[in-house]
Amino acid sequence: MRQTVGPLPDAQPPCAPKSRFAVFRLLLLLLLLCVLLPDTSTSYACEEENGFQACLSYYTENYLRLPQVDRTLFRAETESFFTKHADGVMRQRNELRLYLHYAPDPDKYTLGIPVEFNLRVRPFYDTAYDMTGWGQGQYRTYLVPDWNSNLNGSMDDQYDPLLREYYVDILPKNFFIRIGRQIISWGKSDGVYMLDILNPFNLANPTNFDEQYNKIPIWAVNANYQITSTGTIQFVYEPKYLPYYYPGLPLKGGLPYQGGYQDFTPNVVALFNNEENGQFGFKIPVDYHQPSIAPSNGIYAARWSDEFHNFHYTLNYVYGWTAYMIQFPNTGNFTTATSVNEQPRRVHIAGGSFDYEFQGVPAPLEGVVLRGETAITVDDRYYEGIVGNPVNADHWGLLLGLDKYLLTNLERPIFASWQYWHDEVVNKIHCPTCGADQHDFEAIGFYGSKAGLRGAYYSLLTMYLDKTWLPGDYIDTSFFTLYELQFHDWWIQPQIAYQINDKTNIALGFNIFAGSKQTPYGEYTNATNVYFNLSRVLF
Amino acid sequence: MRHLRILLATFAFALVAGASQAKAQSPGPSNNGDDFMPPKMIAGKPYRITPGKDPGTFDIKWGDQSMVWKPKPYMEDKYKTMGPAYYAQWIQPGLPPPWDVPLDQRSSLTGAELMNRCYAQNEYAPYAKNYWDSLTIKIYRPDGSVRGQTDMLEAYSDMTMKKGFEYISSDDEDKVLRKYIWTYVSPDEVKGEGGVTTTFIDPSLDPQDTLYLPSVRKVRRLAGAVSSQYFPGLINRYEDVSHTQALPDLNYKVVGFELFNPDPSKPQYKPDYLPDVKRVDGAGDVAVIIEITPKPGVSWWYAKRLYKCGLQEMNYVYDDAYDDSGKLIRSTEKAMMSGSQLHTGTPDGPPPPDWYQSWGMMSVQDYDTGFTSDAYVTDGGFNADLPRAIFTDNTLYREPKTLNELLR
Repeated sequence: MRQTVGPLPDAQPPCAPKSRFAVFRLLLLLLLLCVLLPDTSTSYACEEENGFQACLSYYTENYLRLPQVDRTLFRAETESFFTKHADGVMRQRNELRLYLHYAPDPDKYTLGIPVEFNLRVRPFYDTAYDMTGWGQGQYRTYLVPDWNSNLNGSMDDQYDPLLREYYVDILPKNFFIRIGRQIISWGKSDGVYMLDILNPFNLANPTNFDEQYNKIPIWAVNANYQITSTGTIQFVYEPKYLPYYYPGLPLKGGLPYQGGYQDFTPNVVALFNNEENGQFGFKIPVDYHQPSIAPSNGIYAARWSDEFHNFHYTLNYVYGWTAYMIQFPNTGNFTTATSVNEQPRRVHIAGGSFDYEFQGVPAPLEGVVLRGETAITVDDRYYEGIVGNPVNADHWGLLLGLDKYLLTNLERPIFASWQYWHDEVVNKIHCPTCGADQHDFEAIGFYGSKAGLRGAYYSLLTMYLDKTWLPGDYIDTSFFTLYELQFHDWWIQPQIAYQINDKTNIALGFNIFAGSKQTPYGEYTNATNVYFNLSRVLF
Repeated sequence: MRHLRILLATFAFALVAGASQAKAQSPGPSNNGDDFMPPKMIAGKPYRITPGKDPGTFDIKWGDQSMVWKPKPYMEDKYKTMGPAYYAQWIQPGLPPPWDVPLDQRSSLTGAELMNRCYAQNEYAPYAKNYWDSLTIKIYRPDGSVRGQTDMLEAYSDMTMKKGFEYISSDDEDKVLRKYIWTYVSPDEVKGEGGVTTTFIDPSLDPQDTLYLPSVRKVRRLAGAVSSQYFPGLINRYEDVSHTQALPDLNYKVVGFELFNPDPSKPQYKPDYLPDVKRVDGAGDVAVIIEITPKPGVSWWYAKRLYKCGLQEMNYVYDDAYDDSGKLIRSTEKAMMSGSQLHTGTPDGPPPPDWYQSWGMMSVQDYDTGFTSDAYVTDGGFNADLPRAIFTDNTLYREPKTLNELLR
């Protein structure tokens, strides 16, 4: 995938350069068009005719860094570090969301079987990169190919596709078969992905909870047969493996060209990139191997879902690949490596999920929903020790969640959700070449010292509170917080959203990160931000 | 026990009226209400309908109460022509629940039984395998302008007569009483959102709900009883939509009867109010008044609710809700739609007999906020050939956009 990247653009944008003020004027005009124009039609409606439906909306998300700080980054060209003020503009993504749906009349069915066609198109353009002296725009040379737009015909088709989802639903009675590029969600956890792994993520902005836009749609045959009124067996075949896509991953000429420039580049990625780009005085080329499309390289998955009285559950199995591309040193040891082979490995994932509502029990348990998800992943790869050589890791994940409404005497009670999650490496690993702190593994905040290592057992807690206000729930406030029990770092996200009318919605929120610099969330402390989202239905 | 009685009554009904029930898909009582005589007694008092002074009007007298029934543009054609005599079709013998109790016994039913019949059974249609509809909900600001419009699809099934058994597992046949599924099709903010309600035979159990969120494309169990909470994005509550049976947290008591004479100041009863939403408003029937109060220690959105149900059509027609200071906080008007407005099998299918009922139209006035709302059926029907797992996550995951798509 990464070998297909085109040449890097010049430092100047391909179109005429714009001043920061021109960009702001453009944005201001868009906001005016979207918000201030009188909404003569109060009701929302897509265009519909003869079973055909077309909907178009505009969406923008704008992120501004709050800490006024310097960033120290590694420049591959000079093989040296430099320090520069980070500035505020992190992201100004503007996108159109076109949805086309066609459901032929019953008399047009082939063989009497209902079919439905769906296409979701999402062109985007991030104007942050047009502000050449500001924020992320300072590094546009390195970041534009991947994060500026998906209209440039490059790899965007893989991880942020213009034609995002396109599939046909075939619906013989008691069957549901979806064929095409799609999103398939599994599991019963929020923000933790042990079973929900059929779609990789695009982690350009990992703070957005709107998973349907962060997940990378996969090509799949998704066949469901409703064996009973509650029990469904599902088979999924994905012919093509797509890895998680994250800042710093892409290569050019066998070397990672994004370094750590993107604001949400994980430390461990920036570290690997710096080393490969010559931090130690020599470059370490990377050879990238993504599995080809072949039946033997496919991903095969099955799920049984059912209800037993008050107990809803699923049983899941996936024969797939590691979620991320894994870097293997050519010598088996990063301390002696002269090149790196980057490729995924086969994994087996087996697990299940459930939810259960307590009824007829004393308060405060009455009405509590207990949900859980667990999976054992066999033959995964973790980077072990300070050296970080990849080792076979079998790990067991467990999530337990409690959901409950609080203050039910309020006109609109507060929905509260708490989750505990752990990941535990369960196999014995012996890695004499992994350096100090063997049996610890590099977490995503790792930047060269043991402060960034996690143990075999790793866990965190989350809490989510949500409350709506006003008749019609037109205001929605939420508060999310995550705390890691071993790393002692935090992520807090308060948000307020307002539905101005049936066509226009806005949201304002903060992502607040805290913790030491090599922890998974503390590493983003300087990326603490305020964000503003707007969506506007055009038709 | 109450449900056992319902089941026994159902069984007895099946024995006695087996022939007519065999035609329940194209139902037994073939009479569409044209030639039934109005009852002479309701709730122990004489009831009489006579032609009124003006053409098309009727004078109605029940005990010492009387009213003049007037035709209105929003009324269904046959109802507008026949006047309150139209209700007599729901007292004919051989009808299934909720009308299987003879009229002279209906006024003796308990408050909870009346609640179950007048709203839950009336809405879930136990005489059919399923009921389904598309509907529109409009929310108005205090100045009367439209704040928002939500369009929705829904399907119901009721196990009282075992007709919906194919939609539940055999293990649940003695546990699950009703199933309900809904999904929003607009506006954009909530499009695709949906859920399933499961109601249990055991009256001490609260209904359970799931919620499908398109943003994550996952289904979540809702925590605890949400009956008194707002339905997502509406000023209606779950209690108005799918938790329509007698709830374990509430007491129900019959406190009186009245000749139901709709208040013309209420939106839904204004003659020119949504005249294209053809409906039957219950005017001129004798309504039983059920007082609903929270059980001790229960926090509810009202302290008292006076709920009116027409004894002939067994349909919930109106209620007022009060806070604990006795202040009126909400009024609700609800009219039904009868079979001629609906379909059988598919949204294009033929109409069922008139005695089939849909919930029709519900209007809410929230006096605390000044916001009001109208919800009304735009298309609906019975006995679609639904997949057995219609009431599961799979349907929500498909995010159906039309009635035809919901029913696949």
